[in-house]
Amino acid sequence: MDNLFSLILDQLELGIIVLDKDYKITVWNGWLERLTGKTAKQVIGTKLTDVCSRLNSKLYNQIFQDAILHGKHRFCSGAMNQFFIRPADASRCPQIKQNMLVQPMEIGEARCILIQIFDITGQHQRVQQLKDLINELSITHQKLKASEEEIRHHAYHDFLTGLPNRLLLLDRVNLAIEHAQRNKNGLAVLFLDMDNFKLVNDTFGHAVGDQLLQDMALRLRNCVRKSDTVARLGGDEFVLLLPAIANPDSAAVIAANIIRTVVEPWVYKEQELFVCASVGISMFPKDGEDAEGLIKKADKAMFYAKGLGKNNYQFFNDAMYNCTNGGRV
Amino acid sequence: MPMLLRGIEMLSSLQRDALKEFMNVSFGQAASLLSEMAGQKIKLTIPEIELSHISLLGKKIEDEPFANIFKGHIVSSSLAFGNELKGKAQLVFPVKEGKILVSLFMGDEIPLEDDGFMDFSDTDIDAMKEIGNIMLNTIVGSFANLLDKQIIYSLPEVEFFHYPDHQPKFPHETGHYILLIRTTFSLVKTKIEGVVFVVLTMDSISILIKKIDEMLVELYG
Repeated sequence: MDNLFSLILDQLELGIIVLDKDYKITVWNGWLERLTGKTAKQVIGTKLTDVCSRLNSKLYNQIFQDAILHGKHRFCSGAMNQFFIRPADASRCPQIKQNMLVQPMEIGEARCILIQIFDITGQHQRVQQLKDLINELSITHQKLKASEEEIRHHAYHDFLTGLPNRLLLLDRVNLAIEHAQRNKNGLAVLFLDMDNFKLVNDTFGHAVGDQLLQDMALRLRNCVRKSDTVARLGGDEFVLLLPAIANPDSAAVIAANIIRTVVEPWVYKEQELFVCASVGISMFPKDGEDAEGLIKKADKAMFYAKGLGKNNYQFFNDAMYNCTNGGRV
Repeated sequence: MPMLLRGIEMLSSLQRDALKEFMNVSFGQAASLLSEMAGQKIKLTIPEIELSHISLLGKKIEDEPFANIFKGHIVSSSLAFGNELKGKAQLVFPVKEGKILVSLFMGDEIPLEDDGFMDFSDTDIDAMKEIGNIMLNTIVGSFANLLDKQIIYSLPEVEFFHYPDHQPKFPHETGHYILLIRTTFSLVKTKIEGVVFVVLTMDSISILIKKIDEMLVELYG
């Protein structure tokens, strides 16, 4: 019968150690022989800590003592302890993971300790692979989110200046109209076109022209409130949306300030450069109740201002519809 | 000695302080073992401790300060014990907190809630089992020492449940009392809130309170 038990013990796919009250090995099964290369014959009667140096620490000594003296069971995980019994092939140590179960056992009057060692390397590796995969997926997801954000930004913003483009402007004007209707308020749309911008491009080159457009965007932003929108429609055309403005005089003050700001000198490559701007203004609700209409009318007024000799602002009025050549007609 | 009745305060404030003091020593031992395991300083504090009849457990965990922990998915590591002192001890965390705790012990990065990393892997369950084992062995062991009782310990079990759909499993027999100990794990990077339940029989509770009273007499004469 003893032979049968011994045979079964050796066939188990886990390590079985039994220690007596002096922590000497009384059982060492085949799994441990295969793992460590140390036979039962070699280790039986020896102190466990002499055979497995890894278990010779204060922590494990306390665990074995608790089992013998207080009957405490203890589970030690590979997740936190890595391994307990070193394999014969030391190069496997970094990969290996084991769980250990320490249980007190009563044999007659004597108390001894049953130690079970479970190899969980495969299970740990699968978890690690899964964690790596989740990490990779998470990084890909972050990248996709970032590029989606970038695509969305490009769809609604001007590439050169970073200002809102026509699409975003239309949306913001429509929202501002809805808001103004609810609050019985007004709003102003300012259409700005730089005078003689073509000359800057032709004289100083496109690089300076692009720089001027970027700096213009900054100056315009500094002329308005945070809640206002400055958009670039393309070329040298900018549109400003000023919500919650009922009085045309307030719009006129802002337009005059913009014109003054634009004529300030621009310095590129140690050269001063001068441009000016014509501004057309349309007011909600007087000049229209939709975004397209208000922008179109502000454009018409800007065109009229250009005809009047540039570097000025004009409010839209219906007479401008009959005018095909700006203020000169 | 106070009456052991349902629905009334079972411990005087002095008895509660003495019990807290006793538990602090036991939690200190567990903290030192856990610090060694985690390779970093871990402090265990006990902001609240209550003794209650088992039938009031459901009500207790619905109220502050335990209600914060009993919300949604919960992970518990529990250990039954028997012989001269019979009962069950359980360490409970919200799953999110439990996951952060095992990640800190294993040296993994602290997961963020929206990372989707809140699921426990087999490795995490093993780590939770070991943390529960260390804490509960120490706590139950200190009760056994105090009450001078022989105990047979079991191995810890990790369970998941969703509160309030599933209530923690305890023997609901008459004569069982429960110690509810709110505990805070203070680690270098974070703080984690959990609860330790210790279910004891009326006999054990009577001896426990007697021992507490003895401690108080020693202290105050």
